[in-house]
Amino acid sequence: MREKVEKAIEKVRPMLQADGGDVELIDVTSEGVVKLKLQGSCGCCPMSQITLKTAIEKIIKQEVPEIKEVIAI
Amino acid sequence: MRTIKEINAKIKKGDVVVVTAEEVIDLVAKKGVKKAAQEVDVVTTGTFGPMCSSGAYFNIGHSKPRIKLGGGTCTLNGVPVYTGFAAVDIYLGATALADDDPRNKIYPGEFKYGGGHVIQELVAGKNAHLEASAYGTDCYPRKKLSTHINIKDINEAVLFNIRNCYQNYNIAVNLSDKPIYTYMGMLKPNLGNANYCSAGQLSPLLKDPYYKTIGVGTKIFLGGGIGYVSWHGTQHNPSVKRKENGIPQAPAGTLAVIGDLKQMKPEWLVGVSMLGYGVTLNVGIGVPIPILDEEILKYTAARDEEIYAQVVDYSEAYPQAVPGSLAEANYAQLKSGKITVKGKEIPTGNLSSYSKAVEIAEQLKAWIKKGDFTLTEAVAALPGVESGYTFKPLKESPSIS
Repeated sequence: MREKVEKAIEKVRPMLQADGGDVELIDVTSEGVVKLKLQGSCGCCPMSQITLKTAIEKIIKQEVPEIKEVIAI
Repeated sequence: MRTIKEINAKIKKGDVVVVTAEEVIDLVAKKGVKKAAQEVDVVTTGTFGPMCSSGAYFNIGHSKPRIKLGGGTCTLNGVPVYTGFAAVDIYLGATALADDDPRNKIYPGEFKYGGGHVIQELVAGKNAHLEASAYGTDCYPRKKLSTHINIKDINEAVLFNIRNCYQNYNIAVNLSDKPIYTYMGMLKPNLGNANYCSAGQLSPLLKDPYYKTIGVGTKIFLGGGIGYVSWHGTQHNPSVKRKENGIPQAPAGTLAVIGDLKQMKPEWLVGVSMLGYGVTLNVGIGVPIPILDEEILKYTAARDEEIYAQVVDYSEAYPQAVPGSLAEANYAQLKSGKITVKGKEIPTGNLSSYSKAVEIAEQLKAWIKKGDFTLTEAVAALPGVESGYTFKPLKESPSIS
């Protein structure tokens, strides 16, 4: 499952990089929770929660339906 | 060179040439202004960021018996709306908060839910709970109303934003020794970061710096649907300093915009909670620029490197309304992820999403190419540089003399 999540993240990464940000996959739990670390300008951007939920989580869930939630740590 | 009427004829025939404000830069670099202006009919722009002076008005329809909300009180999902109109017209502002929201009592406050979130949920088709009380009259006897409303059932739901689409904005930093929480996001102490808020080379008013095509009546992409420029926005300030290329170096022009909320989309109107500051609404706006002559095309081809913004301290200078700038940087520098202020290299972050701005400009381009979106002639110009129109501070008069 981690590999599938990695592939999904690769799809969203160019969008994050266009805004000076990036993301690192930390963990995919057996309960279907993806833990990410937001990097670059995403790290201190007040809009990062929107990015996380409307872009990153949306694409990961679309590509890997087993995933229930995506959280930033 | 060409008129809007001629462009619309090409749109209807399906042979209009449309490029985004990003694509036109390469095109001009490759072919030159003259050739590019001959080829291109329309340049599309886009921006997606927090725009606090946004909101929506609703006519909820008359209840049986009738109630007069005007002069009474009303909330949507607990968030107060303005009722100072007739019987059943209300206005919900993006930054409105429930009376029992803790705000900044425990600092920094979380501001989990407010007007912006209600607007997004309504656009998404969710029900909202309306609670109202009125004083009652002979013709409007009812005094209490508690019901759910849905955007599809009410008479009008209109997004009416009195200031959007700022033509350039500050780069916010913090010179103090403690973190601060602002509408430009969290600013780390001692120049720990710099936040800015513009789509730069894609931003509508930066690509038409003298408002030669954008005016009252211009049809636009608004919140994923169609809207119009209804007036110049509040705090419109065309008189700020400009670079030789005509582009303002500081916050300048603004737009007031309007459109039917019922045809908009929740992904382009997003409620936002800003830690320690409040609630707002992220709004997606795209404006088409008709290439009527070479000069207009030349303005649309301005690159990030040519657009400058001012670095402002939000710990002291901004709150105390002290004018001035610590430094200036262009959008290419800002997008590189770091700028240098007072000899210190600091990381940058954009509150306005460039990738979403690209999406808007592409969407608008697709609409125009498909023949779904024709252009409008402005019916009145926005106040320009020559108008003398400026943004004045409040003249406080605590006592009547």
